[in-house]
Amino acid sequence: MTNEWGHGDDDEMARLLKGALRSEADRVDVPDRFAEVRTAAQGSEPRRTPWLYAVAAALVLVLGGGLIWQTGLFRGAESTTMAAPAPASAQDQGERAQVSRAPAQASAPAGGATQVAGGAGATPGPGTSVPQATSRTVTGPTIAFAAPSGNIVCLMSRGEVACQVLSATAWEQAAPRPCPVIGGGTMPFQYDKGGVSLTANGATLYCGGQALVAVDLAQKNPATSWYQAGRDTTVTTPYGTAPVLPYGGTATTTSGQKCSMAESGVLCQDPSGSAFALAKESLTLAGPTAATRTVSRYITVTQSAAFVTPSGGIVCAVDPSSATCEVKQPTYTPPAKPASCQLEWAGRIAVTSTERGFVCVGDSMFDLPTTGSAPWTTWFDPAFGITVPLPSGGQGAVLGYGSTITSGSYTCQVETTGVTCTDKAGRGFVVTKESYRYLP
Amino acid sequence: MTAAVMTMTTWGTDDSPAAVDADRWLRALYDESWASMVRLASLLLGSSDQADEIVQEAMVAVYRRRAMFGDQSPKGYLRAAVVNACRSAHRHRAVVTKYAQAPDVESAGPAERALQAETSNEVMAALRTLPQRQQEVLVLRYYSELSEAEIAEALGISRGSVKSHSSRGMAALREAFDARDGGQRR
Repeated sequence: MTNEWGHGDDDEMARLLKGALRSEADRVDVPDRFAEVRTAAQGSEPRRTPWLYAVAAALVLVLGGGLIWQTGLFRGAESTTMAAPAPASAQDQGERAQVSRAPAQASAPAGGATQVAGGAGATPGPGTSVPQATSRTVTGPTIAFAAPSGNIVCLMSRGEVACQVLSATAWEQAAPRPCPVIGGGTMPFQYDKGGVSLTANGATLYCGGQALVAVDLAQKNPATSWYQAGRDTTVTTPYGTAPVLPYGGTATTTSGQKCSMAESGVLCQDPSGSAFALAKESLTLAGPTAATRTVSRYITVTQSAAFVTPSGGIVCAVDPSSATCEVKQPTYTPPAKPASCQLEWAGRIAVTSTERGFVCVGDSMFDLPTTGSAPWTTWFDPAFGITVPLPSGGQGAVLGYGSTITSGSYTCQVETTGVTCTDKAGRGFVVTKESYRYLP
Repeated sequence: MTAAVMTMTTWGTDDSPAAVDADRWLRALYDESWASMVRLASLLLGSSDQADEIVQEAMVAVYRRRAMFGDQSPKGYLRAAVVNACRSAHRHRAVVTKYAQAPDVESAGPAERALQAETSNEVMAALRTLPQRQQEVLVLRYYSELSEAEIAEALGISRGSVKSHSSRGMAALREAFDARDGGQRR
């Protein structure tokens, strides 16, 4: 449909132009300068009153103003009328200069490097074309790439990195829902996916991914212009054919954000120090400083995993058939000790498919989460993880507040209010040093 | 709607413009027009530098002539003054392009923001390649959403010229944008 302009307002170029102009206009910082405008306006015009005083003068003259003239009142009005307009004062100009905005040129702080480690997710899945692992360094203002597996896609643009794991994962479910689709409608690919975003403000989960279609080479987006046919490889993703950042490769934007690809996953860092490590089965979000590097992780393991809480007061272990926690020095009152229990009865609580409650024990779980080669701490990522001393003298692998770890049907979540372990039906327990209760 | 309300509540409250309290008149003009004019000036200049100063000077000029507007809104006159001042500023200074800076675009998620911003930047970059008059017509048409007649009035040109500039501008914009995209944008 055309309009008075002879072309349709609803054609794509018009729509893009409108959107671009609106976005550009929204970016304009509009200062409140009414005081300056008023000062300049009032200073720009002649002092009061040409016509009002002229009418008064005429009346005065008509009514025999000789007497009035002698009083000097009209002379005063006349001289006022003839006064030159007052120019804007030097002070006005000074204030104007003061309110002018300085260019916002925030300098990015120098960032520290962290090595990628831990996780499992960028490794190729069945049916994918595996490129040779060759080093590749990519730089540019915007960069889009896929992991060799095709399971992770990332877009680095304008001070922000957005990555997404394309297969279902436990951590991905933690992303906020529902995912809005810009402009409504449906997308030709699975859109309702969780992703992770990294900016100078930190790393966060988000829900979306619509724009990761930029990774599709057919889009000819500037973010994939680094791809060189014959040198780089491609992989098929739900978003289209994407250029691969090989294992050992790095991508660095002109704003200083860097992503490194490894078989264990992709590690992206911001110059501020914030970072995330993303893999199929785990996500680690790290704050910008060591003090805030109490990571939130969403981890899925296939066997056993053990961890200690940040306070060091509770150790838990989760495996495909059970979840168990032990409190170091509980202050709560446990259920009555059964006559059959000749050992310790107060600190350990567990849930299995058939039982839930306290366990009569003669050992301690507090050495389980020692960092090292034990299979139950392979989930621990020394690049981001923190440790606390264990009674044995070793260092325990901490699962940070806000984190979850899942094995089979059982999940434990660590919060400042305690550790919650449940099965998929929500059956389990919550335990702290001071209390315990069963769920539901 | 704002303009309509303004017309009823402020411009038309007194029979004589000279009787309108000058400060209230200025405040009403400022409230109605300041932000939109600063944004318009920024779009026409390609930078927010000087935009508020240009609008301030235009507003002061309109204020000085407030008696001539009677109960009519001075917004069209103000807009024309702003457009003219921006054109003059273009002649006297090099335009500093700031479109490489991080945008702040509201949308669903970070990936969407990134791509939207990228597209917007490409469109704005293509717009900046057009002759100044074509840019002015397109900005007034697609940002200020003015009619052909209103643009003609603001720019002091005929409606036929407005249509011509708009048509050529859009064609050139499509060509420039498609060239950047390799003609593949969906």
